Amino acid sequence: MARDEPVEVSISELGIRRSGVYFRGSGLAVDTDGQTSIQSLFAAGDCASVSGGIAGASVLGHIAGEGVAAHLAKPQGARPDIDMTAADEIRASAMAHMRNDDGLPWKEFEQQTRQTVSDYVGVRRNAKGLNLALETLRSLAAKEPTLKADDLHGLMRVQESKSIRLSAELMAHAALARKETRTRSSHRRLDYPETDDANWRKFVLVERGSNGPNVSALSCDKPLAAAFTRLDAEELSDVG
Amino acid sequence: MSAKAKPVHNPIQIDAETCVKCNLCDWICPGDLIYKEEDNRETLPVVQYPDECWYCGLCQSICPVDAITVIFPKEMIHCETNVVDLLGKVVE
Repeated sequence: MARDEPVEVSISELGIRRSGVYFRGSGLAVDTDGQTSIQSLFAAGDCASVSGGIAGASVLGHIAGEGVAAHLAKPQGARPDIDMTAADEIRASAMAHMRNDDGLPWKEFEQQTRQTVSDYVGVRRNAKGLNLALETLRSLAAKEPTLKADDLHGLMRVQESKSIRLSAELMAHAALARKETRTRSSHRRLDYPETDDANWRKFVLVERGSNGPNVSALSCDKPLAAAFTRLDAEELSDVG
Repeated sequence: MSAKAKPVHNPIQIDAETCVKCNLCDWICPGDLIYKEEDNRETLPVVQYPDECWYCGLCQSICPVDAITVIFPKEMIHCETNVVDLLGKVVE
């Protein structure tokens, strides 16, 4: 019997988001202790590169917790060196949003970011759409200094909106680099509809470069920690 | 916002009779929506930014006296978003 209406499946009581892209394999690259490329910064769960629902989050949370404990017990190096001049500059630019009385409201900015992602970085991707998204996201980045915050709550939302836009840009870069389709739902390229194990059994890594994000790829045969420049830069192949 | 704008749905209903004014909902809300005057057992929590609620239900689950009910708006229960829109646009 044919259905003539789409069937909606969602479990809102548990607060699980409804989306076509449910199980995704992206996030902060971590080593086997859960440590990121930034020394002393650990990640687990949905924000980290290896997740898998609540089971993955709890196991990797445990591993990262042990990693933190082991890291703290080291006689030296547990505390990161913080460049206080850079920190002061970041603080000053963050607070500047409180003075943008006629600036751009964060809701408008965030809505444009979300719409761009839904339209071009979501379930159906191709190079033209992703490039269009990057263009829009970069022009939104140029507007970031004008974002206004009415109060500290608004300031928090402004920072969050900026992070959402940055995440969207990084995701678009990674999606553009991966010229294949993998797992169908999490990365489907209409212009590269087949899975290409010969060339793309790889992690795609997006890092901060001197002039925007740097995109590279690392074979899945290597540990993800090999991606960290602090460990081994030789393993990376440039795909930017 | 114009006078004609749709009134904002209040996602978090707090029972004034049951509430013990303990601050836990303010403390746990990940969206910083709920404001409760600290150390004052007379004042009720206030939902300051109702339109920013994610409906995560943490306030409801942490409330020690079950004074909070999360109310889902009609459009969330019977979603009218076109599924095709969620698939995104294809640029040829």
